Amino acid sequence: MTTLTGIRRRSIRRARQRDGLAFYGFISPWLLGTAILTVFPLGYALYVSFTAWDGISPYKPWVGLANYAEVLTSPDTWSALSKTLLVVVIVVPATIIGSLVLAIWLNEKVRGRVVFRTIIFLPAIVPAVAAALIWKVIFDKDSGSVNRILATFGIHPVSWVTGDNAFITLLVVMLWGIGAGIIIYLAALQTVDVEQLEAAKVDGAGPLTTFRHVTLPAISPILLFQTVLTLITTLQVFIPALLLAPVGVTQTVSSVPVANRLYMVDVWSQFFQYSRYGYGSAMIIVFVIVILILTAVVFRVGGRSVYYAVDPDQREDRR
Amino acid sequence: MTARASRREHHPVKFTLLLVVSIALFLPFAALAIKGLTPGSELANNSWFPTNWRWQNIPDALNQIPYVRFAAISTFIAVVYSGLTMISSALVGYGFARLRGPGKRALFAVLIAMMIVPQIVTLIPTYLLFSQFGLIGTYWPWVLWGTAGAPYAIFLYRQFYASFPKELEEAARLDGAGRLRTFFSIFIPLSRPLMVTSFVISFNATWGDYVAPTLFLNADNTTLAAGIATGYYNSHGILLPNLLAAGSFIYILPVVVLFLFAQRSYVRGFVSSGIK
Amino acid sequence: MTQDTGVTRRTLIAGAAGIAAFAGVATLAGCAPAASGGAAGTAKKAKAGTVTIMASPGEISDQQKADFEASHPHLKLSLINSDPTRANAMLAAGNPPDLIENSGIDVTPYYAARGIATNLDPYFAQSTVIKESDILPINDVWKWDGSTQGKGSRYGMTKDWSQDSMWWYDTQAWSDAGLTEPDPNKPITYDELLDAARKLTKTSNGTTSQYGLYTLLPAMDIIEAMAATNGGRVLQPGLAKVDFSSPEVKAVLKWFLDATKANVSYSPTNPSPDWDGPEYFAGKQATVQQGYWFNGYLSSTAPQLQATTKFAAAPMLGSKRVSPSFGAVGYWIPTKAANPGGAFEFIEWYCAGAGAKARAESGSGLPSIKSYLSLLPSNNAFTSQSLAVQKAELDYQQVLPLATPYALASAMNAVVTPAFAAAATAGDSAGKLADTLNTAVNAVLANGKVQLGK
Repeated sequence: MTTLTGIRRRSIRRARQRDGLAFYGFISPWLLGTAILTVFPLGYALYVSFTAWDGISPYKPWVGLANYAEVLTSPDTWSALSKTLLVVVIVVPATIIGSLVLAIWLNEKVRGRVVFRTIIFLPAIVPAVAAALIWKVIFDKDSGSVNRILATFGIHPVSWVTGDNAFITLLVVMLWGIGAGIIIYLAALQTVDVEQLEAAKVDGAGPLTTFRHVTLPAISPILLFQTVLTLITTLQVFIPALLLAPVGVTQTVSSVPVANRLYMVDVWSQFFQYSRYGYGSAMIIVFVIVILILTAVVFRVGGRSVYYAVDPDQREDRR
Repeated sequence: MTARASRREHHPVKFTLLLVVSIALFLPFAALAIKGLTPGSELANNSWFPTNWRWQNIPDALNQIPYVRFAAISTFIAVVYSGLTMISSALVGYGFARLRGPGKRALFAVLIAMMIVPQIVTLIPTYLLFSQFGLIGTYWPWVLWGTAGAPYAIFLYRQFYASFPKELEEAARLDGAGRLRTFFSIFIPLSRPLMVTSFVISFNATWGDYVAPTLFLNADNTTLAAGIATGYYNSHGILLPNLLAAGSFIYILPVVVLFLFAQRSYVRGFVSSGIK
Repeated sequence: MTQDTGVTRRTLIAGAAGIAAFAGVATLAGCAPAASGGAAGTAKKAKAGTVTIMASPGEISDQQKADFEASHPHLKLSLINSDPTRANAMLAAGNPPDLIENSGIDVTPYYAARGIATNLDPYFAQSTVIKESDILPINDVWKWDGSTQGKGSRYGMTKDWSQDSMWWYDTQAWSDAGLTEPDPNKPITYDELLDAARKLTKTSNGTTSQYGLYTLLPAMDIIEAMAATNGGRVLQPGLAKVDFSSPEVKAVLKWFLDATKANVSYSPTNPSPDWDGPEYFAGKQATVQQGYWFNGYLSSTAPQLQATTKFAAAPMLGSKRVSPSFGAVGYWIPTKAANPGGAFEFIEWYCAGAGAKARAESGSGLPSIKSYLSLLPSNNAFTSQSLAVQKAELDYQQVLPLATPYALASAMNAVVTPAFAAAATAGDSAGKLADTLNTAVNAVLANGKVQLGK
């Protein structure tokens, strides 16, 4: 084809091919890495989940869907899941609302707000390991500060890491990071249209009304996104539960009190306490599916607004 | 007069509330520091402060476990991972932001999905796979993770790069620069705050990571996170709270210091990623 | 001569390929290997180089490492700390340590049935250091023939051991409570012990200053041991099921529940801040249930208590005198070990040679071979008394069915110990506890059976 349109079409096609190659070139580290570090392992886990492998034998007896049947019908699964959900239901709203409220307060020109901002955000910076250990020291039965405070009221030393108390301790550890979102929310609050705020004030709207009609819609994409993120990180919580356990030198999951046997703790114990690698893998796969479904639901409920925050491409297309 | 007064508005109620919250959130740090300097014999005492401030706890904490070695390993892994991620996430984020290719939207959905699937879920299967290849006990996992980039960082970079006008590349293209050169010569210099944010977040994540070193590294060559979690027990398996407190305090110092110094860039990084 | 024998090079190669393919398919299909550890190979010679040992921290001291390397110049020791997760990973990856330290009682059926432990019969047969007649019967715990522990080929060797249901008591506390000391050679009954504990426990204002009984740790091994004195057994023949509901075993459960309720000791509902030893040294307990090794421990840690401490034979619940070991810790060689010959040289030295002498002389455990029994200390009244009691007890050592190829003790105890705590708090009867334990432990064992492809 030697017509001008033909040449133009071919050069456009070639340009697009070059574009495609460039795109894949740029994302190749992620593509390869994901294949090796996420896809293959999950695929391997999927394979192992159909077997009853004990982790050391050279053979893996095939059991088909038996592991999945057991995951879905075992009361232990539901008890672990319900504990995890309980943590989520308490911690996620508390963190979202708490961070938002704190961010709103910090957004005002209060005296010393930079200092406050730093102190409030600091616990969220502390690694989960350290946080768990710090609170373990504070809640220690014989030498911890909490029991010392109780002692002044004449209360005998309480063991905070055994029995049902362990759950309370776990919640405290997680709620210590209540200021985790203030940086993001502060940034989001900056983007609220100042003119609209002024207009609302002129119209005589009180702070709550202003918040509902001006601020909230402006920050709702970020709010939704933070909710999803916090939901996911809370669902997978595991380290504090493990490290708060009253263990000895051999850090075994067996000493985690029943109250703190969250889903991922249960998975960990299936692998490293009961040597049920097949069953544990099935638990992991089920968990991944649950998370994906939950996230999809939250996104659907949250509406299309989140897509605008997430995908500028979409915005352009609509234009 | 009015202008000056409105610059420093007084919000006594908010100030008090913030003060209360800050004190509450800060107390554990104070308790940690106090406990870390308490002698073992005074641990069960009923006083707020020890009568003897035992500074010897600090060297003791550093000797109870191979602290310096663990810290060096933690730093090495964290720097390697954060450095690699900083660059590779930028590359990938740029690809998603400025380039077109078949299947891009599907791949982006995969990226989002990867942000959603928790790390620990892939860790155990990765451990199973790596143990078959003898990669346990080496630092290769972190090199691989670094090269693959971190989904949240890729996402931030993507938002950031997408906000620039299309004209930016065209100027370079007219000069005959290839895509990679364009990226490095134009976009990277613009990304400083975001790179700092990405580095800080990745560094924190690796410094604080407990599960991966526990699974992938041997107990005598592991990171500080894994070391302090299991090391502060005496020969009978009884916890040494004061040494644990001292060790933990020193452990969180780098993270806190890094944040305090990088605070401004860190915040700017979030803002500049185009949160709209 | 290439006559027409029908077997050409091509058919040989094809045949070999066919066998290899079949073997590959068999592995993929998950055929379980024979229940024994496989036929014995030949004893491999020690390779000059490194021997990697996974041992508990501090077990093999620097001095001992130097001594071994001095007397075995072709070998160097590389020590790594015991870590079950890491051990699993190394075994799964196919490059395990040359030696792993484990309780012979617990792990032999588990690892041998999976074909992961090396059959050591050929090594013992050609050993010049260890004589078959010198090996103490405790080493039978390392024997497995595919169905019974205690019979068959050897898979490891004990480094030292004790009979762990024996006990020690504070003579001062006993006389203060007006009790006559037990006859050191005639075993006390568990009921008498519980009664004595009630009298020995000193309480005032709700806090206990001294517990009469040792720390109660209901686990599979002690339950099985107590049941054995009563003529019963928990792990049934075949090792795939447990039965806690037989009257003999229920009596054991009842004793534990009664003892927990009596509040005369640390227990699942009253956890100890430490273990028997330090609590005894601090005067918080009047008795400890530990084996002979406690002799050496007390002499080195709290020698002032030697004058008021005495050793006694293992108590009985019924009328059968059985005094097993719960540990018999020693070393086994994984089949994929790089230097099994060198590993076995270490076993010879550490369990039966120069490396075992110092441990025997300190009285911190019974040796693995007969000829070292004479090295055990008897330098004062305390050590002589302990030794005498111990010597009389040796004949009652027996290999009990404490282990199974279908689960390690840790997996079974993970369900047993919490069940006790729950039952004691709820005030359940022994029968109800037995039912709970049956369901829970049998589930663990059933899973293990599936893992072995049965």
